[in-house]
Amino acid sequence: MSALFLAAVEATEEAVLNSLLKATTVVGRDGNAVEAIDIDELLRVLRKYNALTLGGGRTAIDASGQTRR
Amino acid sequence: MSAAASSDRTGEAREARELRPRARDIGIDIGILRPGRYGAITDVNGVKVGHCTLVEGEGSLTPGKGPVRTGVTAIVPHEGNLFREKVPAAAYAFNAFGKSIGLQQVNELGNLEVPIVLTNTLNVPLVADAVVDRGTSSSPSPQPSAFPMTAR
Repeated sequence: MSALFLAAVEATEEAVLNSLLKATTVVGRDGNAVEAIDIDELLRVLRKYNALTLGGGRTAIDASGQTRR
Repeated sequence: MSAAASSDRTGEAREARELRPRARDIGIDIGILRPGRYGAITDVNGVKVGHCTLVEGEGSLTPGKGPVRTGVTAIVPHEGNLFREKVPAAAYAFNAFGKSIGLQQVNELGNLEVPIVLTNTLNVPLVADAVVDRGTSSSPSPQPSAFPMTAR
């Protein structure tokens, strides 16, 4: 994978997650609501599966138990 | 709803967004490369982004009136003449439910010659029209043609 492609992949993944996290609850027509993600609940789940970055970003374990790097 | 009230609501949404974290703020660390200073595409020299969110009215829908929940985002890849100095580009349809204009050319030629503009599905043609206007009338050198690049 070229560095340009890798950068595009990583920037896109992070942008999608930032977008999901930053989104607020929106109430649209007829009161239809799309709820924002509950950050505390998200953190609880991420901690449960050790999916948060540990030790300054050197090691992270994803939900399947694989070391990401 | 008055324009003032709707802009208040848009302002409230902005404040609420500012209180919410980004991925790296809560320890979600993506990939192996280091992000730019602000973790934004505008970290890249010359890249410009314009955005407008429209939130107006509530309740039942009156076609053509509202309530309105939409917005437009425009991305200009560099400050030069994009038509003459194209940038490498590719497109990928994730769920392909949205409407797009110009992606065929991007994937065929592998480059981009107009700004990328994102908006809601029904306004894609309207925004594409605006991109054509901008491309064909921009001074000092109007483009010989303008293929809009718009997607939802």
